[in-house]
Amino acid sequence: MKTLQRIAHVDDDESIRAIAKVALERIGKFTLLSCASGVEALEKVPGFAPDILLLDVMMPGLDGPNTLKQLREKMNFDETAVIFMTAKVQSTEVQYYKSLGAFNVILKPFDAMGLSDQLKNYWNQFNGE
Amino acid sequence: MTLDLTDKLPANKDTLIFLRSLLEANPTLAFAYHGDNKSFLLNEVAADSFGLDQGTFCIKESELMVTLTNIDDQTALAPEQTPWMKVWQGETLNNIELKLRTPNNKLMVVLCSGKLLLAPESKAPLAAIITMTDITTQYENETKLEKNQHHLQMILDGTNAGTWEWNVQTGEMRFSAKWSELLGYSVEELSEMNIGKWKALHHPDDVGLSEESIKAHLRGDEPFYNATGRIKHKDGRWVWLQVRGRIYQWDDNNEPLWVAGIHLDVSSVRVFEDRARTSQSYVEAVINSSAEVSIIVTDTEGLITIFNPGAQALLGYSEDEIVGKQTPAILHLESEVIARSKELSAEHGIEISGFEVFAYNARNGIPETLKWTYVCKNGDHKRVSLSTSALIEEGLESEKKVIGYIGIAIDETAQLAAEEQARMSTQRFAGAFDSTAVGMALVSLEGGWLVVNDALCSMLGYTREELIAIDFQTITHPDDLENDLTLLGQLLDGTIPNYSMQKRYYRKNGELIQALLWVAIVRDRNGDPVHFVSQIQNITEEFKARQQLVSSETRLRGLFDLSPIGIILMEYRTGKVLEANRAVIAPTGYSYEEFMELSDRDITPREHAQTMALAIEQLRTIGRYEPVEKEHIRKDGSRYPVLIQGILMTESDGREVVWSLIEDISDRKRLERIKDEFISTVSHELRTPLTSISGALSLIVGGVLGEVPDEILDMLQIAAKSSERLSQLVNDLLDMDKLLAGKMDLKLELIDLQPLINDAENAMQAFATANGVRIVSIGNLKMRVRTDSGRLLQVLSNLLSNACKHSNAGGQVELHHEAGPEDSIIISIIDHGKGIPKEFRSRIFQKFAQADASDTSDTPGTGLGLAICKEIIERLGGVIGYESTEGQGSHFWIRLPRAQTEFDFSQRTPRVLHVEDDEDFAQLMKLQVSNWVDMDLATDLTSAFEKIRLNHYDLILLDLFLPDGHGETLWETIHLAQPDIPIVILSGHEVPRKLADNVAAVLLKDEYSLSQVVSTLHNIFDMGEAPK
Repeated sequence: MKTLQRIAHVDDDESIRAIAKVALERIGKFTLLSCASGVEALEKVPGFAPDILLLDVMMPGLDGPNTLKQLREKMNFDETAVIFMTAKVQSTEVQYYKSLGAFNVILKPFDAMGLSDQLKNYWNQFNGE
Repeated sequence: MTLDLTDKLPANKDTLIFLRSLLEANPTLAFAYHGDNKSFLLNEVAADSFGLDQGTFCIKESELMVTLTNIDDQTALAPEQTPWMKVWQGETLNNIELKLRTPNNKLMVVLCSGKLLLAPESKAPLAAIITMTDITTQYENETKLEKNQHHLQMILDGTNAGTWEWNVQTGEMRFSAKWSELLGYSVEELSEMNIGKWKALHHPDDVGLSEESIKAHLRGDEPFYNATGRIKHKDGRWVWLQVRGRIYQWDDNNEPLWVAGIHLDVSSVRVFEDRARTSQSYVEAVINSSAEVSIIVTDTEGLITIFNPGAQALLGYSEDEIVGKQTPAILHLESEVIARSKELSAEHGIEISGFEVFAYNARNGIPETLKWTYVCKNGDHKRVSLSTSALIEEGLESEKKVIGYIGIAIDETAQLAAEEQARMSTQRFAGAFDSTAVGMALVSLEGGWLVVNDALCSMLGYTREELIAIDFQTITHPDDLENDLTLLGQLLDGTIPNYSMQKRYYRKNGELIQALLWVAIVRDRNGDPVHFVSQIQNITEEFKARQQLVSSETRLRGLFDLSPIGIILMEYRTGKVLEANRAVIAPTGYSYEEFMELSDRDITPREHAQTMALAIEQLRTIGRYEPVEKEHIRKDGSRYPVLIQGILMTESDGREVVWSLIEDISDRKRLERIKDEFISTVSHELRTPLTSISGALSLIVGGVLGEVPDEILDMLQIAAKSSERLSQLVNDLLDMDKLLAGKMDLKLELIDLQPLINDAENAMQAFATANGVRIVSIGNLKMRVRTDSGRLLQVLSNLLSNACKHSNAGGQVELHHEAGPEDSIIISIIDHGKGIPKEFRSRIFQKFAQADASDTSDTPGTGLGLAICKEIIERLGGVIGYESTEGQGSHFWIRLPRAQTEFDFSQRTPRVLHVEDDEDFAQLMKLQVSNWVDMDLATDLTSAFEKIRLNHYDLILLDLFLPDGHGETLWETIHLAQPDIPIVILSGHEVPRKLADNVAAVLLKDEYSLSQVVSTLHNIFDMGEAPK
């Protein structure tokens, strides 16, 4: 199994992006691509080829689900686990995100200290362990 | 007939033969008489008429058997007066009328003629020849005619009629003297009268009438000439004449010649006719309709002509049986009639008997009223008071004529009985008068008190003497006097038979009393007023009470109408709206009238029917129903939310009604929604920055970014902790929001319990450690449970977090799980901290409830935790509960999944927990219901909690005083955690109000028999008062 290394994070909130950057780079020692919008993600993510795509659902302009939809046209997600981040918790929505191709959902507010471990956990599950 | 045989008489000895042949030649009765030898020679007719033997023609005068009398004076003729003697003496008789009585007593009227037969030469008397012609028939006819004429004349005289004759052909008219009197003329003045002059005397309007009638008669169309018209009197006035006549003679050509008739003065008749007709029919109507009074009318001779219904009723005879009969024969006692007869005879000095006994005085203008005994058809004797008077025909004083008698009888038998009754009732009245509690008085026509009873005296505060000295006007309130006097006046003049009024009297001490006055009048036999009878009832108290009632009703009515809270009165049985105020009706859009036609069903949506059915059951069992939210349907079909609660009341007429308070909570609901939306929005908006804050802080404090100076670290740690709390609060708020909005979807799946328990323990371990507490997990079940693992974990975490927070440092929190009945599991979280304060228990599962709000630093929390736990567990079909003893810790428990508890006891037996320390009593109770209830016993609080945790019960039967505490603790837990489980308190002691109001029933042991307890349980189960 490939070790989790490359993570792309798309979120319109600068603070969240900053915290995620510290949490993932400093604690998880991952390689992080931070994008401030869906449009930027469409530009940069395909070239980055992340192991995990961490995608905020609610974004102005291009929202999470639509960004994912358009990214699918640009890249292969066989080896990439898509994880939505959202404040919405309803299980029907979780089902909905999964139907869009998300592997799992992380609820906001997330535990910054535990975020890296949580992603590693999901990565292992994604790879069938 | 003239007889002259002188020339034919032979003068020889053959005279005898000659005479015989002469006599026999005469067809009528004839005979010859010889005065010297006094012998008769008779023809056959005479011999037969004189009663002689056949073949005998010669008799001596002494043998003659006939009697002759004069026609006028009926006296027998003396011998020298007989026609034959007269003729023998030389007299010639011509048609003398005589009556002849034959030997066989046949009376004949004969026309007698006679002539003396002389010898031809000697001229010596030979024989007196007498002939008699029988004119009996003719005579009788004449006599009858004469009589009739005589009668007619009498009638004409009696009827004031004049007679007239008119020659149709010549116009000559003849009038009787009476007739001329009618018109004021003398007979002479009218002797020259003819038809032309006669007509001139007619009133112009009546000429035609009389001509028409006579023409009709002359033509033969009418049998009489009959007309009424006016004729001018000599003095110029008009006299009404009724004319009636007919043709009595025709001429040779059979043309009418003479018409005769009468004229009758009918002027007075015409005037009186109408009046008479009216009064006669009136009298007849009175007589015939009078069923109470017996009226018998007779003609002048005592033949009964009228026998009215009253008489029929009294005497028992029908009209047919009596009319035409002679009185007094059958109706009176002979002895009484004779006695009266003697009396009258003695009084008047003449013999008065028979019918005269009744008629004599009456006829002489002395009506009399006497006691008689009537004899009824069935033989009964009836004592009557009989008034007799004569019926006088109307007319001039001199012409007044008695035409009959009338006897009016009143049944004295009944009258006597009535008098007796009156006497009795007077006695009774007197008794009632004195003893009655109602004031009674006889009041003079002037208003003075005549007789007063004790009750009236005490009512008015006067002594009897004082009261009698004054009148009612003196003590009547001036405002009521006029009305009273007006009514009294109407009573006096007979306009009203009695009256009653409410009025005010002054007592002697000046106090005013309200009274109900009833007054009637007593009249004497003549109908003249004697005094008043008054009945006076003091209604001051009632009046005051009524006034108060009215004013309180008015106040309540005002409240009712103005209340912003809807108030509605419905019939319990039907739900029909009886009364509703504006606040109820206005939001519905119905008019008052429309709304009054509705019932609860019409305004309650179908899906709320269950809610209301439950409310109705509550009404039935505890007489009221708790506030429930429902919706009402407006007239336009839209709905609005209401909060409704009510009580059951029994009206004075026994009808059960429900008073409900209805609050339109549309606004409240809207505000709640706004609030919820606001909280939801704010929470979401808070979340993102909070994520950043707590994330950033946790990274710094976690040392990810390198060393931080201790002082700064301390501050950052406070910030981090607070941001965590804030995050948790926001999360809880959102959870609650979703739970309450029903937006939290649960994902039920069959999961292994053990790993979940482990997860919870592990998740909270760090927190426990931070609080210096140890979590110990007890139990190891290989068991699967159908639940939402995420939500259950949330609940367990919450409860563990609470337990840790409330534990003392170094304490232990036990996480315990075990198998429960009916595929349930029970998870307990037990701490040994300070326990839950008693005063907080009632609020423990409410939102934002915390034992001590100020104690935040010690036990930080959002105050939403337990509320969320309860919501989640109930949504998962479980039950959450707790036990706590202050100072010893708390025990929260969860039972999952709950058994299906549909209240279908046809499928299963209801399960009851009896909490009772008296085991003997409990055993008795159990026996009572063993055939239909599964009864479990807990003899103290601890075991009761244990059983409730482990089992589902459909009802708790609770004793309050238990060895280890008060039953109220148990009630609290159940009431809060499982409010749908009915609790019946079965205690030997009085039950606190708060408790009694919140249980299904309260039964005191010494007031209720076991069977009553059983039936109460039965009722509760039947009505489905059960957990959902």
